[in-house]
Amino acid sequence: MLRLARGLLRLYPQAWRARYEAEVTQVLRQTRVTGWTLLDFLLGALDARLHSDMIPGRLTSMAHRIRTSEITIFCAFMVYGLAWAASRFVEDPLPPWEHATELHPEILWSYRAMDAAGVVATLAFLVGGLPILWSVIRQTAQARKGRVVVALLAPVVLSAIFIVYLLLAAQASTARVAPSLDANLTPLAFVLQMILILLFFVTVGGGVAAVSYAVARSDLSERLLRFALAPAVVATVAMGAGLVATVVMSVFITTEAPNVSVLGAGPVAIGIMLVGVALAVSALRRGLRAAHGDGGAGANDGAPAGSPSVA
Amino acid sequence: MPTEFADLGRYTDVSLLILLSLADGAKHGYAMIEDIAQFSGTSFEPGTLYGALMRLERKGWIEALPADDRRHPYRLTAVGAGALRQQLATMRQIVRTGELRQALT
Repeated sequence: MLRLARGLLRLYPQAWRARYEAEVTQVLRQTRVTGWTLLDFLLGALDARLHSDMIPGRLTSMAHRIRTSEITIFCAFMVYGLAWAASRFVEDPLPPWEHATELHPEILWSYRAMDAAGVVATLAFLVGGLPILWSVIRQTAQARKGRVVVALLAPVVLSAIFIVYLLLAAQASTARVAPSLDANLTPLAFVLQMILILLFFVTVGGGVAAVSYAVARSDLSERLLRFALAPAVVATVAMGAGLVATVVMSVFITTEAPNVSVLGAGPVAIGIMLVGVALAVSALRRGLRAAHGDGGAGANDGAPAGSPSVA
Repeated sequence: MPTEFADLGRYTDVSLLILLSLADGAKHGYAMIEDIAQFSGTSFEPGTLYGALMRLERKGWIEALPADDRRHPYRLTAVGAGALRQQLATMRQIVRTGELRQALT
């Protein structure tokens, strides 16, 4: 357990580890390491990465802090987007849904509100994100930074693999043991579908991580980063509104039309959307504070004596 | 609650306990965990402790002393002592109000 705990310390940012790892390791040797210790480290590592500007002795520029918050909002949007996409799927058959929305139009209104919020969030995300992505691509093409080139190509390659797999396995992955839609999938079809789902998450997760890395390693102008804050505000507000609409829709469905099944209108999808919104709000607050030059942890405030390292 | 304490978010309670522990003298991480468990009955994990220490150090409320066998003792700064006094005064007010209102019911 101790070895595992020490391994988890590698998830913390390098600056944090330089400052605290030795003493945390000493504390671990004196305390009882349990599963809670490991979970606490996982959460602590996430916290340290989200608030890396608070690591003592680390000076971060305003541009760096705005960029970090925008990368976090991008990741939050993707998390939210997965759950939002699932919430749009009404499972077959459609007649119960259509009947339910005729009897209870509020279900349809909340569904449309959720939909509209997602579209607004996506458009805002594109307005803010595409100029940044274009700037990163241009810089990378000029400077030919090897790792950033690989990072930019990664989503393309992963998507190509996913699409090729989908085309090759589409028919075989829907085979059933009997010629009826209610029949179970064949074992091979089940495995192929599991691989498809896994590939989907690898493609999305890998793509998000790769793009985040590329943006983090690029020199973006402060003007461009500040410009992207306004669409980030719109996207975050829209995500919040979409979350509320999804919750309202779920309540209506549960109370008025329990026979209707919407794939994403359950607690798991709502929970995932909530995580996305919470991350985005937290990151947006930090980004706006950095843009307004609020002390926070960006300047010399509270920095201990000694020579700080510039991030 | 003073605004500065509220800035600590989910580390507010842990931070208060750390400041109380350090009010009694400089300590390193494990000693703080032990001391806090003794006077408050609260135990927490090293990850939480160092999340709070990071924030308190950044605010200038505590400072690290020179390392002693790879352990950094921490001590309360004057600014930190002021923040602690303010927070305790707020909590005393809350306790007084609670006791008064309880007497009325």
